[in-house]
Amino acid sequence: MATNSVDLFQGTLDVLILKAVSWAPVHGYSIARWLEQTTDDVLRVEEGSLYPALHRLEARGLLASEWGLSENNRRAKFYELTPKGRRQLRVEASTWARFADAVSRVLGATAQPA
Amino acid sequence: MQPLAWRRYLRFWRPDVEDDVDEELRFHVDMREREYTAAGRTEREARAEAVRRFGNVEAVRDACYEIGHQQERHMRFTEFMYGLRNDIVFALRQLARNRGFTIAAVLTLALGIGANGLVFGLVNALLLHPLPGVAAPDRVVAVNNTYVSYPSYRDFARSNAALSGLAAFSDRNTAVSDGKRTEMASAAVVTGNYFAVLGVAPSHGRVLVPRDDDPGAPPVAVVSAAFARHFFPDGAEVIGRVLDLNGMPVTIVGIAENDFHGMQLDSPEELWVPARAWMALAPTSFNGLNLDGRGWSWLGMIGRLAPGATIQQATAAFHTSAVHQDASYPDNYQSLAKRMTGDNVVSAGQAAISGIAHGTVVRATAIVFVVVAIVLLIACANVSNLLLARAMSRRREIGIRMAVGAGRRRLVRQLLTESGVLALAASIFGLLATQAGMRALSHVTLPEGFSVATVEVHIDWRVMMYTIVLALVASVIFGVAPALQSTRHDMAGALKDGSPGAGRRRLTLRRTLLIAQVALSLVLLVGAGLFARSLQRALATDPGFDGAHVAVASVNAGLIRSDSARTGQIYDAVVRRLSAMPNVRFAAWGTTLPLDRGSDSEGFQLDGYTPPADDHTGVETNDVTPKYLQAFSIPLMRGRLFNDHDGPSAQHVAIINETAARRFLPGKDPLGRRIMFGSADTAIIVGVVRDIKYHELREDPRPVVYRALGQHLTTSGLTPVDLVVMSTGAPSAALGEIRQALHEVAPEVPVYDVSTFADRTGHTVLAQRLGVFVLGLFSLLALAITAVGIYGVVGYGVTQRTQEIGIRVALGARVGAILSLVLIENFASILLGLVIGIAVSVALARLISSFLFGISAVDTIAFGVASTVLLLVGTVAALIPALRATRVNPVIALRGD
Repeated sequence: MATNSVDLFQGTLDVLILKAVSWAPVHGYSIARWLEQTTDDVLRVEEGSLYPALHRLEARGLLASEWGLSENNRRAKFYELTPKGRRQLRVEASTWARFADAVSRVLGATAQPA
Repeated sequence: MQPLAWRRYLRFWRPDVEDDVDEELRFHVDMREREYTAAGRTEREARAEAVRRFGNVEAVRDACYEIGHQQERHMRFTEFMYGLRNDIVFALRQLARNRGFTIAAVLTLALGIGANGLVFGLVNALLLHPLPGVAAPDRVVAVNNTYVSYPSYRDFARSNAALSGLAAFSDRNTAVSDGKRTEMASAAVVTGNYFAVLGVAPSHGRVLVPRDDDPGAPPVAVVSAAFARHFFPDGAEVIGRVLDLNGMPVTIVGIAENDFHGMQLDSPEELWVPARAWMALAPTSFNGLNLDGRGWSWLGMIGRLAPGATIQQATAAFHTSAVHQDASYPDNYQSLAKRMTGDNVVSAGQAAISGIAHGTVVRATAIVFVVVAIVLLIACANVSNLLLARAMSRRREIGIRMAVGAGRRRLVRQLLTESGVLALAASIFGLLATQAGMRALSHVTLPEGFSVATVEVHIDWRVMMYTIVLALVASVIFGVAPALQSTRHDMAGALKDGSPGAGRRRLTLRRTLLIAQVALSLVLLVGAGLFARSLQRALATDPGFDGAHVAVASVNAGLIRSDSARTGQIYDAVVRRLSAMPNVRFAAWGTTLPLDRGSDSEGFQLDGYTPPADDHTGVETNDVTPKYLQAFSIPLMRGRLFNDHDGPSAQHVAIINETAARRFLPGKDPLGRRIMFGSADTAIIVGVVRDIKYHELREDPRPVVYRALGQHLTTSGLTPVDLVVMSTGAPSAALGEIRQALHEVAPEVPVYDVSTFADRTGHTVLAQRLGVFVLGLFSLLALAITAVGIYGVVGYGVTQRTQEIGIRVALGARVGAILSLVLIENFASILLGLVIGIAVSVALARLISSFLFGISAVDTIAFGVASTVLLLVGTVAALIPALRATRVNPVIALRGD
């Protein structure tokens, strides 16, 4: 395992998933691949944990699912954002951005505390 | 994990959660594996790596299953609630639109449901929690049918580890006086821990505590709320008042919690006094007895189970102590151990109702339950009929909904929801009816002297639940058939026009309902008839005496520690005073009244009579003053009556009845023979009188000995005795004179139950009276509902066939022909209902046979009258709409619709 990988904060996985499905319907495996590629494997997700998260988001009405055919013609379950999910993504993304901004400003601070 | 092949097919009904999860996860792992193989790893390596990256497959799968199942449940529930909400809104709209129908249905049902709620409320109070005021009554045990002495009670209390406390009590009829008036009340002599063991709290002041029962403690009492209300109606402060109990002053220190009335339903306790104080002040009739002697077994015991202990453990501990006591005090105990068994050591609730002739109450309750169930069924049949009629007018609506694809299931559900809404509305009104009934019931006294007023009958959550559940059950009973009927597939034909085809079958169902209604109504009418006939027979029974002009009053001189000489003077003076009144023919005293409940039986020896071996039955005795037998017009057959010379110092004399003479001295002359009661009392038989009904109207003649009260003043004279006054006019007119005479001669003697003889002994026909009342009331209700039902069915048939009738009228049919056209089928139904009803009645009459008097359970007159009444009412109900048919105007009928 790469030594520079980071464990995910609780709840962070949800927002990553919402983002992953925000373009088009995708199945779980391609979400895993997308996360891996986009973060250059920095954010290591134990892939199994993806699925309870997906199902929970679906139960909360943030995702909708449908069975379809995968690239190699196998039955696969595809997820997409519901309007409610899209709103949620927007909220979470901006929260995250403010959080990240705040943290990096602190870490990049030059003046010591008074 | 390979899923079972057949489970795939379940998909057609609903997605299979577990299958989907399995497939989704498998897809993921497969894809990874393929990726690694493509990168050049061996298949085994690829698989292992894919699984490793995935993590704990089992845990993930289980988590997904759980989420899926939850989701599914949630969806199903949401879907159901949504549908239900829609159905209810729709039902409300439908019901609001047909206001007449809704009101009729709701009221009919409300009466049926209310009657059932009332009966359940009674049973609830009687059987389910008969001990109001007692904390956690299921942890209280009573020792039934067993009385012990105070020291024995102490032994039991000391040695029972399964109990957290054991108390003892004894109910005593007591003269209670506030100085101005004296009344009888049921006082409980209790140990100091009585209230603590039962967990009864005071509503005012305090309850009794153990130190009240210490030697030398000031005499105090706690009264029941009912007694406080009754004895101090002015609402003045009760705490601190001093009452004379049998002449001894005690101070009231508290009022028990509202409903607490002791441990027996049939004899509610009204006040409570500590045992030691009671004994210290006890009247002379307790001579020779004292609290600490083991010779006097007079206390009942109740205990509270210790936490975790069972009634079996308590019984075992009682038994062990009893065995020990039997061994230690062989003089006093023979069989205490035999009594401490599971039969006698019972839950307090069970003990509380054991006193009220348990069997009788249960049987009476069962009868009333059947009666109200029948009323509800009749009401259901009526509402069914109404629904069917309405379904007819909704044919188009339902037809259209089916045509546009509403499933039959869905429509039936919708229609049943309407029934349910109807029933729930009815249950609200039913509860109001129950409430009203309960208020009315509190004025009724049941047989066995048990008054409903002593039980706390009210609407609690159990009654509410029962009513609502019953309403829902009823809604299924009356709703299912019409719902299925009106959604039959051939209903589609209804879209075309009001063709009568579908109507026919519906009429058959209506006819069935009509037959059922008639049959059930007849059952109730027959029941009412049987009770009415019993009552008539009972009232016509010759009891052998005439009490029509008799007024009575009870006194108990023993309670005020009067001595026998003074008592005799009082009795004489009262008789003299009353006899002097112009409207009084005879005045006398006696220890027992005819048809009253008390009975004194004594062992005896009689010259010339040898009782069969091992027959120790005594003979009933009644100690009376000279004019007693005349006052009741009991004829003398031989010898003489008592007279004023039969005083204490004269030769003791006795009069026997015919049965005694016949049974004990067949063929011999009883006059002049000696009859002995114990060694000290030898009397000469001086007369023979006719038999009378001694305790109840249906008893067989029993041997009775009358003795001269003046010669038994030291014994019977100091027990409760009854004053008997035969007047020339109405006996009620003498009541005031009786009260006044008693008060003026002996104001200190407690007087109670001043009433006419008829009122005093009214309980003898109470069962029949109540039967007539209850069944009469409910059968009239049933009859009315059924009449409306018949009217509806016939009227509906007439409406359906207006065109046909119009044609017939136009073609010159006569009134008779039209009438028979619309009536004949309905009469057939009514007659069929009668026949079925008679059969059912014969089967059910056995249920009430023990309450009947002097008639058989298949009394032809009762059956005949009931059938006739029903037939008459049915005919009228059918004729009214039928006559309307004869007035059909052919022109209008043929043009319409």
